[in-house]
Amino acid sequence: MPAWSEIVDRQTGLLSPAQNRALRDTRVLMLGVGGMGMNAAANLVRMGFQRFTLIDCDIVDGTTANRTPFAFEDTLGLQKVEATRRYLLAVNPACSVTIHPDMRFGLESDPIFMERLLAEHDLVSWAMDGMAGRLYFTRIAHRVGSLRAGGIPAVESWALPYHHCVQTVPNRADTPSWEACFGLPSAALPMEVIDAGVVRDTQLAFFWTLACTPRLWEDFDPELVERWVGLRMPNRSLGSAVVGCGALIASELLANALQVAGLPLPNLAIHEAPWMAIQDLRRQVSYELNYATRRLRWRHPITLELHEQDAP
Amino acid sequence: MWEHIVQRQTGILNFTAELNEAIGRTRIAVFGCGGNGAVLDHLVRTGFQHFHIVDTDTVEASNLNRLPFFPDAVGLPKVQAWKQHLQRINPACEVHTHRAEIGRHQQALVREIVGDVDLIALEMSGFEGNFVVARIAAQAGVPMVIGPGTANCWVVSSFEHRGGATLEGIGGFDTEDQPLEDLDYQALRPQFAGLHGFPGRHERLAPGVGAAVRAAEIPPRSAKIFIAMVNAAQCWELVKNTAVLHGLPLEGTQVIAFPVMQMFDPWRGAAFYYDASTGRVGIPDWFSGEIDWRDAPDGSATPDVFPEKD
Repeated sequence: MPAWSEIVDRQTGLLSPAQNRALRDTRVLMLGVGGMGMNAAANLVRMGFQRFTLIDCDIVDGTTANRTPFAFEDTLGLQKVEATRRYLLAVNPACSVTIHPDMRFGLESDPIFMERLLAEHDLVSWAMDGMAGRLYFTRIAHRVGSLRAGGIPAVESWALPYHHCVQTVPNRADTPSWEACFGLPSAALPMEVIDAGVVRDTQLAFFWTLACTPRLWEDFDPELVERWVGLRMPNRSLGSAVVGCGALIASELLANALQVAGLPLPNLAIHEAPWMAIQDLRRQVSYELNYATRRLRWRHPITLELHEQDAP
Repeated sequence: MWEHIVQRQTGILNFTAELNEAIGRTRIAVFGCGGNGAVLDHLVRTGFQHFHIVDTDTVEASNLNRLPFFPDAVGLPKVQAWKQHLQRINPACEVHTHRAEIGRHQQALVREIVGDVDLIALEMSGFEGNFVVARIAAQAGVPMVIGPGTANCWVVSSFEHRGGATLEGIGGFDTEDQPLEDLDYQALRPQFAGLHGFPGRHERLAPGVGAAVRAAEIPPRSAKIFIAMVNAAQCWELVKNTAVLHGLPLEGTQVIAFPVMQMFDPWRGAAFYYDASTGRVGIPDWFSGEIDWRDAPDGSATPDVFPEKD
């Protein structure tokens, strides 16, 4: 059986032994272990992360064949948290993995439970569908994180076919909430008035905000866009892109874990919201976008100078 | 299973039914099945299912940081572990395994493999093997993609073998007329490394580690996240080459043709290009992807960074 030290052996030199140990001791809460979350977990365990809590109530079904790190037949019909737990333990049996297979998040969920859960973790991977759960989680995370010196970093990512997007919502007292980062109208509303109608409106507003990602629509077959917007077909995904985005999430979690441990790596940027880091694979460019202000910035690769302008 | 694998990508621009079918019948040789060879994991999930895979090593516990295997694969030849992995994801995969160390003495094997494929992914870390495969691929006119795994950058390029843009020609080795078995590979190595010494490639290793790797005292450093990112980019490059090969339209993107190489620095979030023949740097416009070429700043190139042996 390979020991943890063998898993981190080849990255030592990129990371110091103290940084490797910081990864091992970081407690990661993974909300959502579908295509993105499970790939993020697979990257984390192969970098030496060892302490995981997994939340997801879905089952592995036939449509994930192109992007689960497991072979498809091995996990078909399993709960996603169980499939992920098996993967993590298969790679490193010393992992400590807590799973919550029945937990659903919505407006009616118990906030005390989520507060306790957040208090026991150092950072969060956010890779879950559904706006009600998103509002519930992001609001509590911001409230709890505001009371902690370094906040509670939550990393989220999207694999929009050719656009790979990632950001950290720091959840500190001095940083905006997730809703504010996207300029969503619900940001101004207190939790008590948020009902199913507000959730639906927020989901729609969020969809159209994301739809403003420059040149996103050009990446789809036009007839397909129509069916997709009409919700007549599931999201499109490139397996390789999802696997690549899993690495992006893991890279962002790595940067945050080292920051939280007080051992940050020089030059390893944390892409702090409201700036979303975007890699456009098709046009082979990279930039950051602020979805609330529709401003865009990019870094010159040699001079490292930042250029900022309005997004089209 | 193949239908399941390609189903979700159908309808993404460029991923037409025709391209998926072309992917399903394109034959790829992957020389080197270590970290960069893990592009295989991306390829099988994109629908490629005909492979020749070449490697001489066995799986070690310290490889599990970048190979998608479990501890039960430790001790297996890498080619065998890959064959199992590929066929577990898509049982219809046709996988020809070659357990061999590629070098000047393996030219017949390389010719045989190259003669049976449409595309090549060059993923070895040693210099001699890469040189031998590059020449044979150029002679056979089989497109070849490279994506050397640096610890901290994407580097991707395609050898289309048009207009004489060969590794030997661009690299200025002056070796084209000499038989592969007569070359002094040790003497050529620094020049080969120079091709990869692009500007902006700042070392992120701890003090002394880079020198120890270059002196082959310790194996090259690698972290899972960087390997996964460069391999996703390489997979996309192989998809683009597949489209070109089958005469299918490629919209809004193009093959990155050597001597141009694409760089991506995930730590800083900056993308750029490097022309290995002129040493110029290309800055892509974030919106259109159009490239603005200019001379690299003085002193920005990095010296020998190419390890001799993994």
